[in-house]
Amino acid sequence: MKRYQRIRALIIAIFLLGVALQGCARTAGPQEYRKDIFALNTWVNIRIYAGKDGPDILDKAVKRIEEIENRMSVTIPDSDVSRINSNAGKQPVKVHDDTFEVIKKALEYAEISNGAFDITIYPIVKLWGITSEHPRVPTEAEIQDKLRFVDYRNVVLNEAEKTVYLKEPGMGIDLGAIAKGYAADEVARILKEEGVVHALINMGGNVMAMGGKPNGQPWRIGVQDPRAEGARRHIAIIEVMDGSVVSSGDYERYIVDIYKKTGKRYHHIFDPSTGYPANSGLMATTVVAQNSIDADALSTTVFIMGVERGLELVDKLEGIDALAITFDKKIYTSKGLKGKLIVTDKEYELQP
Amino acid sequence: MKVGDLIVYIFAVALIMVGLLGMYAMGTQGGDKSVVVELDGQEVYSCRVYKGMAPVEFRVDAGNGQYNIVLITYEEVKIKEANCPDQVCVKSGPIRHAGQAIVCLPHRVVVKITAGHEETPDVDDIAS
Repeated sequence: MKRYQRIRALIIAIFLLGVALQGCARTAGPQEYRKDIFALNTWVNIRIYAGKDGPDILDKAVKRIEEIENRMSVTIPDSDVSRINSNAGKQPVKVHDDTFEVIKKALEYAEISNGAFDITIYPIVKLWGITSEHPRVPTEAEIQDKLRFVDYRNVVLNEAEKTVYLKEPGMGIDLGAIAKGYAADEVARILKEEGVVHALINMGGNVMAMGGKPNGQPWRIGVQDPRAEGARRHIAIIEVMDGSVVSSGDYERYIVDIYKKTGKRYHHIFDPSTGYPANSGLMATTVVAQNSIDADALSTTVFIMGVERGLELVDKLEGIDALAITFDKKIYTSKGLKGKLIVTDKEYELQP
Repeated sequence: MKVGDLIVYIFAVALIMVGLLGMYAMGTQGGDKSVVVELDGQEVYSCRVYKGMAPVEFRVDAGNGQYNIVLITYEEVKIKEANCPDQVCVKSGPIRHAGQAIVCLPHRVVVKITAGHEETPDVDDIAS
């Protein structure tokens, strides 16, 4: 009888072990939750590691993104930005705190870049219509005519009243080069408030990394190959625990001049000093910063300013790093990025 | 040690090994993938991809005459043709692994590979 008891005990032990193993496999740590949406004129992906409330947290993040879009989109007729634009030369417009904050930040970047970054570029953006249904190459006269309205110094902010006023009729602002960064920061803030430690947010290539990977390793963020013709392919890797990595380039949205048959590429980042797509010798730039709003605004700024002036500016700013890729496939980096960039494509040559 | 004990031990070890093998197989079962096509966030088509399957063509009707034709084979998934203005979805080429996606921004169409062998990627995301 004793022997049977022992057998029974063993069988039970094995059974229990099996149950325990299964339990382990199912409840090991926070789970991955993902959410993808179309917003801010791009495709947004959010990946978080959380408990059972993961989907609720993601919903909160999505709500905030939609709120920001409704206030800052230039194509939504009753957004703050549209109301500011339609009241240009007429009267100051009261806006939401977040819109005010973003415009204020944009003007700071206009100031430190000597106008290379300028949200009053909208009349030029509209004229070319690169991202619209009917893009075209305007005439020199048309460009000069619209360029008169491009000057960030004619944006008047009233901090107490939270109003924004464009001094000249015909002026307009576009927050397309900064709003995605702000939205990414806001999503990160909400995730942190909800107790999320590890997350990766991507707003149309505008990446915000939080807390490293769940295994303690840093997030590995690829730098887009500017000549991949639409394919997602990277040429270098930047490792970040917490921070944002944003690229800008001539490859994102562009038209090729088939009408005059020059084959020339006209992209969507305009130089406020010329009214033409920026032509500073760069194919792309990538900026690394703690906050995505800074990385977003500066990636455009460096792209317009070019290698020398752009990287010089970045070196002066604390906690900001950048790389710039020239047409001859050379990669130049700011001082802080030296020795940290992992170049994975041999065609691209990292400059010392 | 008695013969009975030995039998029980062998039985126990065998059982554990079978269990572990099963778990391993479940964790790594690969090759077979699922493809999901979404229009404006809503799933409009999905299918499993398996070895020996015939290629599948799916036409996404995005309204107002807008369309994308998705070609699904065992090896890869791509948008073969579309009438979107930027052609980014066509030019972006094929995807092969779980977690990858093709996006057509103008038509708000997303083609994703959702299951199957998730290849450990070289990077977690791309700043583009």
